[in-house]
Amino acid sequence: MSAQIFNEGATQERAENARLSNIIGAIAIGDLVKSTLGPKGMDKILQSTSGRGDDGVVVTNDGATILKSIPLDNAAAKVLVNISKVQDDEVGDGTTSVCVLAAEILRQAEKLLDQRIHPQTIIDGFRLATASAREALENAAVSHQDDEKQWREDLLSIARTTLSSKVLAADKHKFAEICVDAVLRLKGSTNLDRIQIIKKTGGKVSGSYLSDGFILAKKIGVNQPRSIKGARVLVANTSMDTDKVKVFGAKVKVSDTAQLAEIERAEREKMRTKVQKIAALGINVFVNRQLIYNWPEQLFADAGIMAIEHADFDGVERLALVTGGEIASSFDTPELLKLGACDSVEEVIIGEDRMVKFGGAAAGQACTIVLRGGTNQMLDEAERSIHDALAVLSQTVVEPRIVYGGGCSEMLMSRAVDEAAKTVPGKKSIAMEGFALALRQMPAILADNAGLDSADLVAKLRAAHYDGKVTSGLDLFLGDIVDVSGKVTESFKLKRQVLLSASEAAEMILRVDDIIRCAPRQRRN
Amino acid sequence: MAAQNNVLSSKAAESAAPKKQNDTFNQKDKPTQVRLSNITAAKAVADAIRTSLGPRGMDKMIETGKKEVVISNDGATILKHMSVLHPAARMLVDLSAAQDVEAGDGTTSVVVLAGSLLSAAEKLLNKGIHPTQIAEGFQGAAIEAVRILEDISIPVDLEDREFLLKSATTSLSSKVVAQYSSVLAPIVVDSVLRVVNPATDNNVDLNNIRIVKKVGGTIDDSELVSGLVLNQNAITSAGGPSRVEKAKIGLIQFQLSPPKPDMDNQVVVNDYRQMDRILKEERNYLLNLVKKIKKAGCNVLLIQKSILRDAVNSLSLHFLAKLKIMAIKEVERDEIEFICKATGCKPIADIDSFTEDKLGLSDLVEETEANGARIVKFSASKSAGRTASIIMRGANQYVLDEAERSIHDALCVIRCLVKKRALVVGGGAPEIEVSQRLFELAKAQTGFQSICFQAFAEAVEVIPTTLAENSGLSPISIVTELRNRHANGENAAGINVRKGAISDMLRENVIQPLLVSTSAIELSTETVRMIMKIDDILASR
Repeated sequence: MSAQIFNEGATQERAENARLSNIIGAIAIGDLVKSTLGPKGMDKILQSTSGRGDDGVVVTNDGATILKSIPLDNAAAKVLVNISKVQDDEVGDGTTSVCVLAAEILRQAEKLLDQRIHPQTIIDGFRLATASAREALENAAVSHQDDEKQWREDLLSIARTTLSSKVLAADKHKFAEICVDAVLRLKGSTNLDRIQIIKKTGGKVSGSYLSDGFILAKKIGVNQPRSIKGARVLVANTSMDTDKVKVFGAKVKVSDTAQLAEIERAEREKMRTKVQKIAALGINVFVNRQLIYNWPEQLFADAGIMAIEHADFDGVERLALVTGGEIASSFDTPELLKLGACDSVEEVIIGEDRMVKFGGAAAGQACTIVLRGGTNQMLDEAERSIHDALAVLSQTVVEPRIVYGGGCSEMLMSRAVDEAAKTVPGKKSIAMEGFALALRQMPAILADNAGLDSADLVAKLRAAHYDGKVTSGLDLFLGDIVDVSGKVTESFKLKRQVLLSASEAAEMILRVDDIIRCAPRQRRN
Repeated sequence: MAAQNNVLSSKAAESAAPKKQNDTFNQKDKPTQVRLSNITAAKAVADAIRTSLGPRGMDKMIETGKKEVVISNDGATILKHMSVLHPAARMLVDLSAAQDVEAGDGTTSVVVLAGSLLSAAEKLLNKGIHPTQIAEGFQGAAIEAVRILEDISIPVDLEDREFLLKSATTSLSSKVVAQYSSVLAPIVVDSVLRVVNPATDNNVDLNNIRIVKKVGGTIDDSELVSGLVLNQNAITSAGGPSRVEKAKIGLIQFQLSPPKPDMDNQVVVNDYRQMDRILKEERNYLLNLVKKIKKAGCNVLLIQKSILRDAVNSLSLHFLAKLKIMAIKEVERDEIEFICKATGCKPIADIDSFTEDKLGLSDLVEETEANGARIVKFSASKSAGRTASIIMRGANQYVLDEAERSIHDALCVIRCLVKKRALVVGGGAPEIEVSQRLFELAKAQTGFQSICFQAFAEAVEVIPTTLAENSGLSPISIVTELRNRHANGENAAGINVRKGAISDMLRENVIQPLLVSTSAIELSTETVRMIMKIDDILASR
């Protein structure tokens, strides 16, 4: 470089170098997570370099979680992390697939670049390939929403497919039922806040269950009713120790002790009126975000009201949501308050702890999944798996079309791309063939992870598809090609999103021909 | 282990950085290395506590980060205090904690079993079996093992106190307090039977059993009190009573000291006559409170601790003493619920609501002194709920702490029996039986499943082997003889550690709850499966 253009410390990588460094970075990421793919995929331990204690170790199979946690220093790698995050937000699952597919596409692109094909030509080819792959996928997608029995079967199958690659694989039938029941309660809403997940160490994973209603990990006050039918619930965030005068430095001056006693009495009376106001609303369950002190607690007990103190912030908000009430903080205008309601409130024992269960809530959509498991890592991972399954299912309820998994859809798309390539003149068709090859890598990775002969299986699978058996896929437990329809089902939206995000990301990375790194900001001592 | 860790973290960092293409090929053996390192680390943890298994197991002394010394035989306690670094090793610590939550006993066995299963898995990995296949095979074997255990279990009746005593004794026999098991076992059994209704309950809330520890005396002096025992002492400084018959107990959540509103306040005194008046008013105020208490018929007063204000002052104590009311202060807020249940009283937060119906009853409230420690005992009354208190005595703090842990384990054993009313024998007998039957099952299977069953069956034998080793017997001859006996149909043959021979465990009264054994197998298999599935350790932020 003859003239200094950049600041000191800034670096520039150009043309071939830039492209290569990007592609290598992306492929490294793909290789990192690809062993987690599929029902025989492996887990990773994430060990925090800074934090110690329980949150220092995470055991996971979830691509998004892995990628989110590792520190990276490569622009293209960060792009892949980003698309996996977007996939997590949009569909909730397929976070690994999207990264791996993008990396495989780039691996093919690298070979094409070696053959001196211009990046723009490759991109054009990839675009055509994406379009025909998408068309093939859409043609293959089916919806069974009209047939209730078949529809539920589909959802169960999707849940099983998602769960089979996770830690819950051994109990996937049970958890599939739990997830489908939970999602169907939402009646089309994708707001997963209404499904609460409670984790309790101890017991075994198969001891987990779905409980209708909402569970709050708090205790009921002393001497208050332990179970209430037809509850009217007030959720509040108000101070129940004493109402303090909020003026700074407010002070009373008295001349003798009797006056002091009077003030004390007045404070108590004030609290009594507050409790009376609350009781006058006709409620029988009072849940407060803040502490409820001894005195109001006794008053509530005398009034036969169940009072729960110090509910956590999240709990209060969800409780308000599921009981259909609103969080109150002042009680002077009863007409403006919105009370919640539910059929029953009772104390239950989960594991070692007593908790409060709100059953048959007004909203009717709320439910709680109680997870049990040996270790904290197990529970955390189980929660992530359940979350993925719930996300996919709730998306499927909105977009009911399904496709088949086990490498079936990928092979289908690959065949469509291959056939389309034959009709395209010019170098673009070579790029399209590369794209088809990248799609075929997905079933190959699935087979590799299961310790099977991938080259043999993928060839067989391709032959089956060309033979017209378009629902053939891999059965990784048998290690053979089977008809996967009705067995391994995936959401159409998920697959489409994986295809589109991966090819977009690959295109974006290919377009780059220059990487400029700014000098890190100097820290003054 | 530290060196290994370093290797791993630098490797993990490498993989995050962009790498050369041919590295892809070198990476192939990395998952194997990671898996082996995980197995080694986890096995190290298992080996560390292996020697504490069984009645002849040894204790461990641990100096914690805060320079406190803990001496224990309880697996969960040892592991909790060990600062374990390796992530896979930490999973074993969690495993022990989970067994503690689920069954309360067998916290050492579960870790030893997991270690042994991992060794077996390692051998299978070397044979070239895919880790997920091992995980599945073990899962299948564990399900069968639990089924076998259920098959050989003996149903138990909660009315049969003898049986319960035997199982509590088995649990206590491996602890420091083993020689006192004849004293402690009845305490444990009776306290649980007091708090449950055998006909209806299928869980025990151990919060209803309160353990009060007092240094002094020996463990022999420990006793079960059917009512309530308080650590706090009666205040006798002003001459108040320390023994009250036909007690009416009031539990107050306000204070018997001069008024103090929550707002900042200042008493302005203008001249000396006013000082007199203030003193007089204060006296009146307190007298008024105490009179109201007396009027409701209360003669034992418990006062909740407050951080804002003195619970009592000398003046109010004087009044209480005059009116023959026994006062106990510094009752914690989390004790309230138990006290309410035990005595049938209700907490009173304001003097105006101090009425007779809120008082609890007791035939006798007495402060007693034994071996240099004073405690207040409340004998149980008819209105009291199902609660029990255990007074633990011991020569020093370490013995006392360990005794408490042992009592907790024994309580959990009885709780297991309430949860799942079945027993198996101890002394390694069920493990040998499981192992034998799994070997049989393995023969009926084909492929990797069969090999996994065999490996699992062999791994389960670690429990009798370790028991024999720890008692100074020859593990090989003992285990082989056990196999022989079981093959001849002696289902209950196990190691009699005291006699150093093999005998019928049922006749020796060595029994333990089914839940402890099944949950140990299930939980350890779950953890091993999880460790098998890991193929990489990455450094995260």
